[in-house]
Amino acid sequence: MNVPFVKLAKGSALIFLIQIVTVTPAFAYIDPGTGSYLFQMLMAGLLGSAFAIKMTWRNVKTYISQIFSGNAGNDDSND
Amino acid sequence: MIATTEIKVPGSFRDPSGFLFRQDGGLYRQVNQVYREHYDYLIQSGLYHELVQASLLIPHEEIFSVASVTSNLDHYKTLRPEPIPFISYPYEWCFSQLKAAALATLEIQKTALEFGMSLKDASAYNIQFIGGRAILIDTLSFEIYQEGRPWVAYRQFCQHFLAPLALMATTDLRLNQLLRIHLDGIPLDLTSSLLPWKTHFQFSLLSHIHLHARSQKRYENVSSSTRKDARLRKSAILGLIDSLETAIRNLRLSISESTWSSYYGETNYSDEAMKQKIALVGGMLDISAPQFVWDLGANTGRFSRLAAERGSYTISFEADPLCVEANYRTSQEKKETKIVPLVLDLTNPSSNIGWANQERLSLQDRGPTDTVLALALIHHLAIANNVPLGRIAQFLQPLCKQLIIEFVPKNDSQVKRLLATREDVFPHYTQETFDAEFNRFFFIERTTKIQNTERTLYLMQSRLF
Repeated sequence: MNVPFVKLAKGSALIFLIQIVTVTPAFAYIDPGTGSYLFQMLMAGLLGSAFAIKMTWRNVKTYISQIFSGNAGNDDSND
Repeated sequence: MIATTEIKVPGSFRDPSGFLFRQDGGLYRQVNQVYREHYDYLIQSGLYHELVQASLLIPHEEIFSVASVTSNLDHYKTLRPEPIPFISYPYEWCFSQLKAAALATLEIQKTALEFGMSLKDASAYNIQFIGGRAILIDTLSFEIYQEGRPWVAYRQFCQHFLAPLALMATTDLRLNQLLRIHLDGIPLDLTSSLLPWKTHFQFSLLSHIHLHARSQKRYENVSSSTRKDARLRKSAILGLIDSLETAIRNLRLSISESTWSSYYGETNYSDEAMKQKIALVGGMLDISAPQFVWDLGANTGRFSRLAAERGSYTISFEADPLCVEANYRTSQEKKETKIVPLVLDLTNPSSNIGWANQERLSLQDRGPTDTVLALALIHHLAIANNVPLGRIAQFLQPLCKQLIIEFVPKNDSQVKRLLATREDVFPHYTQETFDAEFNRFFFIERTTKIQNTERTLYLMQSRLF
């Protein structure tokens, strides 16, 4: 992934969040659909990357623990 | 042609994919032509089989001999879902039940995505507690997953599950009652304003509730045409679901062990009298041999278990949400399959609500049941809530075929406690009046005095059935 794109994405996310938190309450009829939709696009984008890292890390941990337990077994048999 | 009686189930009208109907006593679900592709995919992809195997989706069979007579042109298939013993609603569930229903919904969505489908609804009303498990009962909730499309039920999931659970865990356990007013889940702006400020420091609640609510307000006037451009990878949706799952799992009730033990231990019976009461109630249950029981004022479910152990499917109603929580946790620990604990205030029982006042049914309209247990209850209704004995009998009559009820007289220690702080304006609260009033609505079949107490146990038969 190229760095300028990441910067742009982060910048857009920040602007979006600032826009969200600076809104004033309005007691009018609300169609929450659009806001939910846009929010999901942003959140899922961010959480998807975090989830990918989490799953990769989990796989790495499983792989390492398998190697470790496998080696331990071999060591025992070699002894 | 044989004449058929058909009634469309009033709560089943929103989804164009199909509807529920009753015909000649059976309950069926019509799959409409418009849903054909999705239904076939559900079955052929193996998703249906996978979810039924995991006890996450209600099993059904396809019926060829029955079709709705009112919507024949739309008809693709008729399904007969496995019967559900009792329909309950999220505003009748305790915290852990709502949490179990939320986690089941997310598990179903994850499995659906693996098989190339996605939930188009995440309504808490689509989940029912059957055999101790939270199970999806709406077979038509799935749609074929389209690459790039976000999860259409995200907002609904937040409103139906995350919002009430967050409010119950961090603000007040009773706030799930907002679900009675807001049938499509608690609005996120309302949730955001009711949650304590400290929840802004919890990432999951900051994002899925507070910022989500802000986003809804910020973009409420943006036209929907802007929605269709963006695309979302499947991994992003999985990330969103994983985040929601973490949020739900992290929500817990902070209740001390001593509070729990006081709930389990509270009774004014001596061990001997309790043993006798258990034997007497058990004997009456053996006589009436009910298939279904409603235990009204069940506390933590001691007598509900007596019925469930005899094979009766028992709904264990109690007004105190913590009692229901304790009851549900016990049923989960013991892997009980015949008890459904529910929150219900008998002085204001669930009424008919929703569209045309027909969408969600009252307690009465979900009956009658075979046997009602009303143990250590009458004094709470008659003295603490000022309901005359005749009105209590009148209320109970249409609910059940048999009634096992305990009369608690004024000289009982519990009644004395109730009268200690109020004026005794209950001259008619006597066993003679009780007998006379209940006799108008029920045949009194058996009466037995509970030894070492002032109380009497009755077995009655409703005059209606």
